[in-house]
Amino acid sequence: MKINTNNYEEYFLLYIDNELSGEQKAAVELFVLENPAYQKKLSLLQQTILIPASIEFEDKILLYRLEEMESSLPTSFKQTLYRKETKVVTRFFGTYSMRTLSGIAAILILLFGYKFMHSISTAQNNSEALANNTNSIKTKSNAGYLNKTSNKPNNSSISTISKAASKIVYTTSIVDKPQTIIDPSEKKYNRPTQNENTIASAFVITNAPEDIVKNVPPITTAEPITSSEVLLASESKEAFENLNTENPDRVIYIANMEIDGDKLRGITRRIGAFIKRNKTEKEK
Amino acid sequence: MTDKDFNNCVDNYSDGVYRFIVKNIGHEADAQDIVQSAFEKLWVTRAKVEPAKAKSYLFTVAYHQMIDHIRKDKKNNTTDNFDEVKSNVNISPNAELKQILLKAINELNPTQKSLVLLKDYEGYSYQEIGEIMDLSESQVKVYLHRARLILKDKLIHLEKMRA
Repeated sequence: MKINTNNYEEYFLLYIDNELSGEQKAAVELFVLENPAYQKKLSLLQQTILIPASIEFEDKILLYRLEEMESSLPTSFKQTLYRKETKVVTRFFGTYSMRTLSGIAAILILLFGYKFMHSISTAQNNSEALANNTNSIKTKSNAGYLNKTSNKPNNSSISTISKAASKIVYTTSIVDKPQTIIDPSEKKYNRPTQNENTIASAFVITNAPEDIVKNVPPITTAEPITSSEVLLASESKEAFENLNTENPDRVIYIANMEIDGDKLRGITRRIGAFIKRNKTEKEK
Repeated sequence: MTDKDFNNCVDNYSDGVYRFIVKNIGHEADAQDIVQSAFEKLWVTRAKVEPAKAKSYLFTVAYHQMIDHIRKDKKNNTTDNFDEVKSNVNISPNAELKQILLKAINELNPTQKSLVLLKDYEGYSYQEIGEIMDLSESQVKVYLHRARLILKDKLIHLEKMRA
């Protein structure tokens, strides 16, 4: 395409914008030389070009990215700063002092427990002895009472007394020593009821005359028992009942509080095992 | 783009971007903010930007931020004040023609002004200007030629006034 008077302006604009090739530039320059009237038009357009002003961005420091500014902390250091909320699990026996204290507490519990058990046993023995005394007194009184009643067979109250009472009357009358009555009775209460009956019957048979033996049959559970007899038997039985340590359903009463003996025994065993374990650890 | 490339961009292009923006909006502080934002964006996306295209990337970002700024400025009913820049910009004292030309450029619309500045100050081609300003090459050519003719008419008018 050739430059002419119709399209010169576009060529001039492209020329000042530096958008022409070398050949086109030369063509424009040749056109201006050939047509001096258009030289002024080209120079006017060239005057519209802005000369770059010396404007600087002064705060370049704000734009720089230095290594120190962008340096990041190592992850290992960051991990030391992290905090994680965790449940604090406190072991009661974790510390040495707590172990020592718990050991002392266990010993004290054992001592008090032993003392407590000992006091219970002594109390039982005392009650047993007391029961013996009361039984002997009762037996004596019964004997006396029965002696009196045996002399008065027509009294209505005497009729309520069982044949066992008459048995005692018989024995007292034969032996004539109240102290001796206690001894067989004590032995009798520690024996099973069946043996008790047989002994009683045997005792009667051996010592009593035949006519009385007939009137005094051996004591059986089927026979009607009067209230005084039941009271006597129950009191004496409770008083002389021994504590069976082998019984699994053992229950200890402290005032109104009921303590399971097995549980207490389990606790004492655990404490003992713990102390033993601590001891072995210390030795290690 | 490495950190070193980025800092080289600061050295080589920050003045040009700032000049382009400050000549357009006529406000130094706002121009500085725009330049900082442009470099901040370059830093964030430096992994995706090649060093050879960093300059056009910076001008593109700065130009779009400038357009946003101008739109906000229009909403706030503030006008560009080229005289504010004049006192802070080192302009040759004997270039009266330049003063007149700067005044004439200030009367152009923002697009024409940006076209002239990118062309004359930075020497970008039509194609590059089109990429920066989201215009086609032919649009750049037409708009820029119109701006040149407007400026030429103003200069002719000034000469007539002097005469």
